[in-house]
Amino acid sequence: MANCNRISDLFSEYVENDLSRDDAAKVQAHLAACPSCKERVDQLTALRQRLTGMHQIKTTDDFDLVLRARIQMSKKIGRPTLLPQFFYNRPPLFSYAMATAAVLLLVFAGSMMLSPQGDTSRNSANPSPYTFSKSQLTFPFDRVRPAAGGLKRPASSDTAKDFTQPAKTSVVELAGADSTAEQDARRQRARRAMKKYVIPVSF
Amino acid sequence: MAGEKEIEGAIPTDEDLIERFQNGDLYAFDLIVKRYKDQLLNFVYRFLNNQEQAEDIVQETFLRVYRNRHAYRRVAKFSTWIYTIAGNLARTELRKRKRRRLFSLSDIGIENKDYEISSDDFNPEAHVDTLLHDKVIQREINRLSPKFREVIILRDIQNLSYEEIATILRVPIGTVKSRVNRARLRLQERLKKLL
Ligand SMILES: [Zn+2]
Repeated sequence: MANCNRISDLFSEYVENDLSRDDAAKVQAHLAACPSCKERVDQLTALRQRLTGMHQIKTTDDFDLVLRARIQMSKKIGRPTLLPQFFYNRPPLFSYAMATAAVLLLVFAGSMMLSPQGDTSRNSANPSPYTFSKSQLTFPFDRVRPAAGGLKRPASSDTAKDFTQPAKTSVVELAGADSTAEQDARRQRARRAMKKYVIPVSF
Repeated sequence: MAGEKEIEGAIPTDEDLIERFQNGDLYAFDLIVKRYKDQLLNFVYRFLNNQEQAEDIVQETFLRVYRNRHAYRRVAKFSTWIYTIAGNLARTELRKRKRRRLFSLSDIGIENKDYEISSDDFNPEAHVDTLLHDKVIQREINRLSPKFREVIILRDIQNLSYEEIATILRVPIGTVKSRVNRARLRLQERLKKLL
């Protein structure tokens, strides 16, 4: 049909029910007479469903830990720390700054890894799972406390109740793990996460 | 404590949170991270088709929010602000990829992380099927030019409104709509067999 192309401009809004009554009627009239456009619109509807239903990925468990380290790091070097930018767009002296920062981070990370069981005696009734001392970590999570029942993954990620429960971060896990094997594995993971941001120095 | 007040009170808006953060409440920043990390990750991941890089960029996004918190003004929705930052970083990354051979972290011996896929009722067969289809769809999305790619992701995968997308991309709503339309028609053309 001659005006298939022109009318297809409206298909997208048509499948979203976003057309004026007049335009919608126009499309409907065309679809009734044009099987190929009808098929196209059906497929567009299916496509939308497919796209909306695509699987969602989640951030890794290390995410919060690494983010905090990066924030600390950026405070020390006074600039952002995006890994690719460091690699590909290096201004002069930046590598020196990064090297310094990496050393600091190593020290910082090392101190965290070596003493995961911080001072929990302070408040034994409600021991904080955030075992790093203030001087080690000034950044937030120390204010997020677990519910008395322990660490449960919240059902929904955006409810008010949710806010009082800590995210399932490796920080929590680091301190909350029962077995030493588990603890070691987690420490290992955290260390690897850190390594990721330290390795670039050698470049 | 701020955290306890929230149990009784209404859920704070993003704008409340960033304002609290601007006033020194670091806990509010945590809540922002929690609210947005997965959402932004999926946005950047679909755009770059690389999970590790996507996570890196999402972290950088939060880092910039942290550092530039005072640049945010309440006239804009917080969500569009943070999406704009993430989108700019992702686009910059894409441009850089063009200029150089893609550097992969696995080149220097860092193993891939395991990414879990969220699914409520887990049916292995249907699951594999969905993943396969997702892969095909993802490949076609990546064949779109960035302009079309970003609108289709924001609209159809992330379900943002046209107004929000227009604000994030700083283009008129009409432009967003016509890009979405063209992107969908192109995908429909290429994914016929799947639909
Ligand atoms: Zn037709």
